This record gives sequence, C-alpha cells and structure tokens, in this order.
Amino acid sequence: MHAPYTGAVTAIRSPRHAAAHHAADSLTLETLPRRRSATVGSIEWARLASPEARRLRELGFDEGVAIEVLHRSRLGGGPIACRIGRMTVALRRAVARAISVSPDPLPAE
Amino acid sequence: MELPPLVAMVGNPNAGKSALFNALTGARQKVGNYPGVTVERHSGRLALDDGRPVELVDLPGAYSLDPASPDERVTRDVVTGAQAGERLPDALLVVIDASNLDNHLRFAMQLIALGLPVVVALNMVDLAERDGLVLDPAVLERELGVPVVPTVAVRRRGIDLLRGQLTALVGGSPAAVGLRRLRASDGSVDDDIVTLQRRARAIAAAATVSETPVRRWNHMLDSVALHPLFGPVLLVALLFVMFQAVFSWSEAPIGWIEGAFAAAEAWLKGVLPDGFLRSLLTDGVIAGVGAVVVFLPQILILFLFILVLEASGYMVRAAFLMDRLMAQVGLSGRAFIPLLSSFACAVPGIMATRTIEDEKDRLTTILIAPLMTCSARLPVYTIIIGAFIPARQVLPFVGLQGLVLFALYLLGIVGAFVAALLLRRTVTKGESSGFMMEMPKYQMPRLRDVGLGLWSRTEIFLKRAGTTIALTTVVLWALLSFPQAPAGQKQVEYSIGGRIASGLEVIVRPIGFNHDIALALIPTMAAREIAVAAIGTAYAIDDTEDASGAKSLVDHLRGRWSLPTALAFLMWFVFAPQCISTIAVTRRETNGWRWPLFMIGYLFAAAYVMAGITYWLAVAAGL
Repeated sequence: MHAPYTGAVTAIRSPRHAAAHHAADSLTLETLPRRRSATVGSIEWARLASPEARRLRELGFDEGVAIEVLHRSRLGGGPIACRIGRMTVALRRAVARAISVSPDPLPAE
Repeated sequence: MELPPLVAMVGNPNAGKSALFNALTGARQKVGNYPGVTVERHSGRLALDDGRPVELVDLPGAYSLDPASPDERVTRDVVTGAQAGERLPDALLVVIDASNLDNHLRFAMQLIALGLPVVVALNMVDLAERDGLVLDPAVLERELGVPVVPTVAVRRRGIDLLRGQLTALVGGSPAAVGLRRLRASDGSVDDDIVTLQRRARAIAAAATVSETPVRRWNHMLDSVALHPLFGPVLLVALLFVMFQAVFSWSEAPIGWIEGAFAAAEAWLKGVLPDGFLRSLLTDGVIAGVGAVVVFLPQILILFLFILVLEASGYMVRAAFLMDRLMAQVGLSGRAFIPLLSSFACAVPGIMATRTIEDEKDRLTTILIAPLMTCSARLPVYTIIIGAFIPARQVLPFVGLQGLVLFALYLLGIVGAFVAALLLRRTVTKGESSGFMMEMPKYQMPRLRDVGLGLWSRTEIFLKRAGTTIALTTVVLWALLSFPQAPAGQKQVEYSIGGRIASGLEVIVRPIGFNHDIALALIPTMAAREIAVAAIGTAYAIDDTEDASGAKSLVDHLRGRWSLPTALAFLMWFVFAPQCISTIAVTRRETNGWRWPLFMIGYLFAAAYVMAGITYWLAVAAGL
C-alpha cells in the first residue's frame, strides 16, 4: 500500500534533484549546450555495450580530451555530432549520456 | 617465377588510402577476393626506383588490430601473416591523415610494433595546412622510429619520395632498416588502447609546430547538411536530382548505342544469307545483348552520383540524418550506406553491410537490400514506362515518366521499411546495435578516382552482358526457335520455350500476366535486365512472320499489353528477387542456404500479392 505513495514522492523529487545535480558539475555530452567547448570528465564504461565501449575508445574518447557538440536534432531522439580532438564523430544519445563533461570557462569579455 | 615483394597499405578509414593507392599504381590494378570471405582484395603493381616490381595491396581501413568486422579481420590477418591465400607482407605502408594525428598515430604505433619494415605516409598535408596545422615530420620520424613522408595523394605530391623509401625498405638499405631497429625494440609500446592513445596524443602534440582551431568551413557545411530541417530537405532534393538525371542525361548516349547495334544488325543482314546463323546472331545475340547494353549510360550515371556522394564525405551525413528514421524500424543509420549502394546493385550493397557490427542488424539489412531499386531494374522500368506512361510535363522540369519512376523507387523503400519492421519483430528479433561513426571531412571528389570507380563498374557490367546475359538469351532464342512451328501456328507458342511458358502462365494469369511475360520470367531468374532482352528476343522471332517487318519493342508492347498488365509487371519487379548474383552473395554472407531461401520466399510472395492487387485495382479503375 505504501509503494505508490513513495513512488509519487520520488517522482516529484527526482527531476529537481537531477537538475541541481547537473547544474553543478556533471553535465553529460547529451545535455552539453551546442558549440560550447568542454573537456571529457569521466566515461561510465559499464553502461555501454562492449563493442560500443571499444569503438568509443578507438575513436579517442578519454578523460581530459577536448569536446564540443556540433549538431543535435531539436526534436530529440536523433544522434549527436560532436567534435573530439580534430575529428567529428556521430553517436546516439544513450551513449552521450554515459559521457560526463565539464564546460571550459567562457573567455572573459 | 619468383613473386615480387608484397607491400601492404594499412590505415584508418578516411586516411585517403585509396587515393594514395591510385596515385602509386595508376590503372594497373586488380580487384579480387580473399578466399572464404567476400572482402575485396585491391592490388596493383608499382615499379621501384631501381626498376624492380612490387605488389601493392590496399587493405580495408581499420581502427585497430582488434577487429570488429570481417573487413577489419582481413586487415589484421594480413599484417600478422594469418590470412589464408596471402603471404606475410615484406613491408607496410602505413597511411595517416595529417589533420587527425591523435587518432591515426595510435593505430600506426600498433602496426609499427608488429616489427615489419614500415614507412609512414603523412597524407593530406595540404588539407592540414589549410586547416591551420603546421607539422614537423622530423619529430614524428624520431618518435616513431620509421621514415615519414608527407604526401598529398590527390596532387601526386610526395609520391616519388615515398617510392624512394619503399625502394630502400624492400631492398634492405641499411640506413632505413637501422632507423627502424632503433625504435622497434623500444618496449614502451603497450597494447592497451587508452595508454597508446595517450602516447599518440603526446607525440601529435610534440610534432605540431602551430595549430589554429579546427577549420570552420567544414562545420559551416555541416550546419546546413545536418540542419534538423534543411538537412533532410537537401537529402531528398539530392536523391530526386539523381533519379531525374538518370533519365535525362542518358538520352543521347542511349541513342548512340542503339544506333551502333542497329548498324551491326543491318551489316550482318547484308553479309549473311537468311537462315539459322543469321537468326542466331541478329535475333539472339544482338537483340538480347543490345537490349541490355543500352542501359549502361543510366547505370553509370547512378554509380557516378553514388561515388561522388561517397568521395565527398556526404554519405556519412546522410547516414546521420537517416539514423532516427532507421531506428524506428530497428536499424541504424549505418544501414543507409549499404541500402543506398543497393540502388546501383544489391551485390556491393550486401557486401557493404559488413561494416554493421551487430549480427541481427546486419541480417535485416541484407534481407531488405534487394528491395532497393537496383540498376538492373532500370531497363525493365524504362521500357515499360516509355511504352505506357505518356511523356507529359506535370510541373516545370518534372516529367510524368520521371515521376512514375520516382514512385517506383519510393515504393521499394517503403516496402523495405515495412519488411524491416516485420522482420525485427519476428525472425531477427533483438536489441538495435546503436550508431557510432566517424564523419570524414568534406572533400572535393577527384575526377581520377571517380573515373577509375566508374571504369571498373563498366567492366563488370559489360562482362556480364557478354557472358551470362548473352548465353541466357542465346539459350532462350534456341528454346523459342525449335521446333519450327507449322504454318498457321505461332512460333512463340509452339516452341519448347513457349510450352514451358504456357504452364507458368496458369500461375501468373490471376495477376494479369500474359504468355509473353510468363516466357520472360523464366530466363529472368538469372538477372532482371534479361526480362527486356527476353521479350526483345521473343518479339524479334515473332517478327519474321509479321509482314510489316521490324517493329520496335515499344510498338510490340503497346499492341499486346494492357495498361493494368504493364502496371502489374512494374509492381512485380519492385519485389521479385530475380537475381542469381544477389542470392549467391546472400548465401556467402550468411554462411548457408537458410537466409537466401527465406529471402526468395518472402519476396516472391510479396511480388505476387502486390502485382495482383495492382492489376485488379487498375482493372476496377477502368485503366
């Protein structure tokens, strides 16, 4: 009997919690604003299927690498094109979600 | 005779390997197959500075020595000497993209660690320079311990230097070998990709003299090509232009080919007495082969577009745009490239599915590839559309005939999507494999590379027309010519072929097909374009009884077929799996008969049902 009640509370709390969390330090490649240069923080390899994880490594995804989102379809669902090093790579959102990034400080104006 | 030394070209995809291969070997190339796999083996001859010949083999592009696809497996097996039917190379020519050192150096380091003599081609240095990237090859040479030659394959820059290094390498010049040995025993090379990658980045940073941010014009092109709204519009427009061009650009060359065949026929009729041999040559060989060769211009225009889209880098953008749509039927954007190639021919299309890593994804793509309207259907579509659809303009620059052709292509695509949706829920059930792809820089396609690609397609097509198709039409001619019909009987119905067709006619009568079509369907099992040749041959034989003499194929069709029959015939060809080569390549790629048989079954069922529906709807509509 308690289960639905608890669920409702979680449902209300979790988006706020997530938003606060993201705003702080763990933006992912999925949510990184377009054309904002950033650095790859950590990659949750465990969330990825093993061929995907390997291909991601082979394409040079690693901690400390410069990254930038170039294109993302507005309606959601479509893949993301990002620049990593001097290369452009397309990947799906589920993968982008596993890559946390920290935006570089904006140049002072 | 002793074999010449073997040099293998290896590198990442998009390193410009093929252009360098073309620059080194020119037209002296051979395309074969590795035994047991359908991976193409591209090889060519190259004369060294001292005149000795070297065999150069261009291996499939790979990201590492840990293969993810059959293509990459061949690359690994050749460089490690494990590939059946290939010797261990005497040296490796490692090709890296100068503007993507971070990534390409890592694979180069793995290859150097194998211990074979290596020369590195630092390719596309012009693009890197334009990109604001100044590199110091001497630093790379020192860090890698192998000779590094800056090249611009498409402008033939650095080719002589590269050949000089290869001469030293396979000749065992002490200087070159010494340089290599210095570093080969370094021991610091680790197999772990991340570690190697970090070392590659450090070397790249050391070799970079100066650098400006990545070129913006590439991104500017992408902001149009990948735009959520303009991107898809551009893609559809490109495809539409491509299919209109297939029709409008080919008119003149088709006229020349028809003229040549007509002249050959007239000449033969002049020099040969009326009889068996003359009938065999004119009605069998010339009518049959001519009916097919005439479509070479259209097929080449289609391949031209596909080669240019691929070489320019646009193809991967198209895959990016299509990923969302493909995901909805359980496929990935990656499937778009093999499917688009299948518009030219399903055989290279099915072979191109090897880049799809997930087995179920790959199988689904193979099964729906024959639904893409291949160039072999063009002869059939063209002749029927030409005979039955009026050449009217419906909009400025848009003809009704072109529109009908576009609709047929669209129908194939819709059919493929419906099939994929059903297959992914039944026989190829499973998780989708996702989509991850490097997007190469945009590049101006090189006339020479596109030309070589077109030439090899022409060769394959003419070889087919000269062998399979010629033989099939001659057999058909024989079946239709014997036994001779007595006076008052129709030759096409009295002959052996005619009697077989009469049996088949019972089955296809309900979907509106007549005796001629039943007859054409038999040899058409070998290849679709034979349908035209078969009908051409049948009417040519029948023509001899006709007092009026030579009537064109189109006139014959108009006189004998109703519009509903013609439409049903078009619909049949959208679905029917009539191509021995496709079935054979499916068997090879899926390791057995199970999937090709499944493919034949479901496609014939679809063809029969759809042709039937079309016929009866058209009849009901009073067409």
